[in-house]
Amino acid sequence: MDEKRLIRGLKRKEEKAFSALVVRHQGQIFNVCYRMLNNAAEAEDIAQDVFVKAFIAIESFRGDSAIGTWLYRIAVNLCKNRLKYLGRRQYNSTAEISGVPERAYSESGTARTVGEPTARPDQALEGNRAETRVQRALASLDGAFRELLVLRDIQGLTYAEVVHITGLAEGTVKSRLHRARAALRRAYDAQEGGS
Amino acid sequence: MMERNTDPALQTLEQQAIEAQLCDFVDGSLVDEAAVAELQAMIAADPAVRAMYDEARDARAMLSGLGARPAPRDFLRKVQRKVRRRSGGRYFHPANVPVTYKISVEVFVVVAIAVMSACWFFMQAATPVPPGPLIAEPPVHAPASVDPDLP
Repeated sequence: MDEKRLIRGLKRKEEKAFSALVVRHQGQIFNVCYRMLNNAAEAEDIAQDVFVKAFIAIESFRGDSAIGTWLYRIAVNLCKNRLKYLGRRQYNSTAEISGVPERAYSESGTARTVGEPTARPDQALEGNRAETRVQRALASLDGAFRELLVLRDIQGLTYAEVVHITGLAEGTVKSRLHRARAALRRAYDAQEGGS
Repeated sequence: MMERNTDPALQTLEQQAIEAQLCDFVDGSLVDEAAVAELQAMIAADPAVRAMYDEARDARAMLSGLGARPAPRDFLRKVQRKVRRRSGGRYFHPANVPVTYKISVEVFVVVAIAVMSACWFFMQAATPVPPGPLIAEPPVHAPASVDPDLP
């Protein structure tokens, strides 16, 4: 189903169109929520809300971006609101690291590329620890920093898409992204020092 | 190399410009050769800029290695259930067969019966009469003449 037909179907509240939308974008949206919130249960709840909100508010979608970008925007806003709410409740998002990482890391914290020989169990374990440290370092950052790192460096969106989602100027996005990267590196080192 | 301004506002702008350029440089999207050369010279000459560059490059490498978390298997079903619940059963309820679907089935049945009836009628009409023995026309009897002798 192409995007125009999908949007037409969504505006007619067709179940088939909605299912196609969810199936097509659930992975990206769940991943963004998970990286932003650092908690699988919270991420699943918010990711569901993203699609529910999209279903309700599809009439307001003007089509000036891809529908995926619009979903990212909803996801980021809901995650930031959730982080504020959890912050008020003294929720420690760095405390919860759940699941098994999908890619192994070397001891230095850099990811191995696909096709490299499989690591020994001790190396794999160390890689998992490194990913956990990266995720914890990410979770320790301010929501505005986290948002940019997730959108640009994890999801790999273009600057034009990040600008559209965040509503920031491109120069601001780049400058803030640079600071976010530096903050992440320092937070990662702090994790390493603390562990 | 870029000269440092003394005005704090300009310094901030200059700092932001350097950060944005470093960001592009780390991403490999800085295409202006002069800007690349200037930045490389700054990285080589200024340990603070070098440290900024190293931090950003390392962080980007770490994040690009984070794998994608797949959504839970029953995610679609849960989202549909949430829509159903929040809409009070108006959407995605199993019992709510769309009206258009009902109508189309009824129309289909009526049309199918009509088409089948028409086919049957035409088949009957087009069927040739099997040849059989000719039936002789009944003889035409002349009306009996009136016998004048009869009473």
